[in-house]
Amino acid sequence: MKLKLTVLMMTLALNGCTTNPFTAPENVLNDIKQQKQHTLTARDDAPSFDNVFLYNGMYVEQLSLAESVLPNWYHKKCSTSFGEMKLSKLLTKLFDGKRVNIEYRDGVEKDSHIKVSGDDLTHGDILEAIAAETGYTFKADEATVVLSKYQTRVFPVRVLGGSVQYSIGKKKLAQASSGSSGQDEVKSDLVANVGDEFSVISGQVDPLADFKTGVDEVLGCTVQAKQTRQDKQPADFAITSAPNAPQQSKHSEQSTCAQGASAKLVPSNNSIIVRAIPSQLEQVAKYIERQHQVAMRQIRVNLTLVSVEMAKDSQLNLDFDVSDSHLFGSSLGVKHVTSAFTNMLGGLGNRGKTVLQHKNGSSLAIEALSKQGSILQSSVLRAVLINHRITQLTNVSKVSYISDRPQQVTVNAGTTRGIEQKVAQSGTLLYMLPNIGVKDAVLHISSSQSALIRLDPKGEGDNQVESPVVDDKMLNTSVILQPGRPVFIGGFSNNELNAVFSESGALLPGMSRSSVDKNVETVMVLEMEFI
Amino acid sequence: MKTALLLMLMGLSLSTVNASEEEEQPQPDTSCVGVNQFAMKQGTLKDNIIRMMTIDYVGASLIYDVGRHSVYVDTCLQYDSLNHLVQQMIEPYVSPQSIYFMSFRNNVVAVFYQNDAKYSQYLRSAR
Repeated sequence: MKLKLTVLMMTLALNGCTTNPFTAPENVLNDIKQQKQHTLTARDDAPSFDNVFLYNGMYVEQLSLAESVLPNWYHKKCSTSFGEMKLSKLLTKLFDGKRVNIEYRDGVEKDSHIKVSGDDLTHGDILEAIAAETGYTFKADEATVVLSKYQTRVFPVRVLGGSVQYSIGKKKLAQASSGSSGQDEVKSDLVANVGDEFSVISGQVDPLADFKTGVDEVLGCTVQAKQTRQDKQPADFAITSAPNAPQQSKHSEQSTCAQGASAKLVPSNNSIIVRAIPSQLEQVAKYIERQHQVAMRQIRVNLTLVSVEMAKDSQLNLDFDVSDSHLFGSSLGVKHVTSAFTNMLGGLGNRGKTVLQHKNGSSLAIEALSKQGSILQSSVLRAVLINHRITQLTNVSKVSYISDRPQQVTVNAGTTRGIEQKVAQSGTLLYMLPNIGVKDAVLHISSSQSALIRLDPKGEGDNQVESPVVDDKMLNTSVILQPGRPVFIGGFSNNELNAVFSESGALLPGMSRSSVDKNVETVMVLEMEFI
Repeated sequence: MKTALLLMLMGLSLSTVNASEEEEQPQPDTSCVGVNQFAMKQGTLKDNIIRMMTIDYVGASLIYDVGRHSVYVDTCLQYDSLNHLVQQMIEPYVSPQSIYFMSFRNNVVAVFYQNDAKYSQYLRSAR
């Protein structure tokens, strides 16, 4: 029996030893990974809401810098009770026994009556109650409490300072009286301008002074004329006057603002310094912020100049129903050349056909134009404009030409021909003045284009000189622009004689005529976008 | 006798028909007290949020940093979770800005505007 028990006990012990009580590290790791995956899935798959958040931390109230430097006595309870009494007496009683000095700045009425009531008030609560009742501000540190009626703040003005003079438009064109012509110029009376007709927008502004004017209005400032008697007479004048003659008086202007506030310009850093009560300062801050939002508006303007060859039956107006009148194919080597190309900008430009690739309203307008005629050439001028400021773009090309070949007699070479050159300028001048609103902009645009078409040879042999053919165009108009909506602001129509020839330069065989009359319109398209 | 019986039977059948017609007319359910239902009452948004907090945020402190938004009419909201309920309550208010709701670990809940700088530090790491 004992032997059986022993054998049984030994067997049980051996089984206990062989059974491993420890979990293998790999299994533990796998368990951990599965739990992690399960938790991540629960977190990621849980529905998230746009407006509801869980912050896995504590909420605490944050102290501002001003609150963090308050003295220790500020938060101590005050054991004294106060009724209605004078301000100076109240503060003396509040800081009785404490080494705190009380300063009363300009404008504070020490004898005004104040009533503070409440239980368990701290020193800070009482000071805040005084500030709320009187409108005064206070600044407290360990040893001083300063009460003041006014605060001073500097407001930077972001618009560029200085006096701005501007003018846009052409005031004085070339004058020519009827019946006479200058030596170098012949002009038709119908296109002559004698100076009676012009369109100009001009002005002079001082942005900083304008801001100050607005601040004065917000502060309720009024200018009063003040007469001061001039009692002291200048010594170098002998004045004889009747006994009852009036004394000379001098007029001066004095500005007085509501509540004794004041505002002064600081031109050196383009700012305005304002001394006023806190509520007035807030009004001034809001006014300046609103003015900045208006003054700093910017737009980008694209001026696209498109030269369109119109089909004959649509030469009177832009008819979008007319089908495309593209010239035929390149296998014959036919080129279409027109001098209207050179009317675009600067003259003597590249000839051919160009297509705009960028996508905007202007390109859609050009595509619409292309349904009506061939787009011969297009150019884009781009500019960024800030509110109420003139933007100028100028592009000028200069070409020298032989204007004269004067005869010259020299000792060694005898009679020779010299060369006299002149410069022909061509290009574009563009001025724009915007008034940018919230949703659109009113733009005044003044554009002058002078195109050097060609230099015609005159004379023969040694007497040959060159004569420039110039085409001038001018546009002066005001338009309303909205973002993404192109506006056709003007155009010029040219009746051009177009030559059709083969690539070799000779006339194309079989062609009965070598020229075609075409009407070419140069159209200006304006488009804007807010920046 | 027979006629009287017939008349009685007719009267009984008519009354049963009327009763059944009346019984068949569905009554509108205005209780909104079922499980996962919350009755949003006409008044202020703040009052409704305080009532909502009695569901799960019992004893929590409310920081209400938005304006006096109002609830126009009584509405019954069905929800799957408390966050879903809160989302439905504050989602329609988008002016002047969207309203956010945030709960903190120390039993504080805050209601604030989307661009309130005071809570930007919490939004950066909130879920």
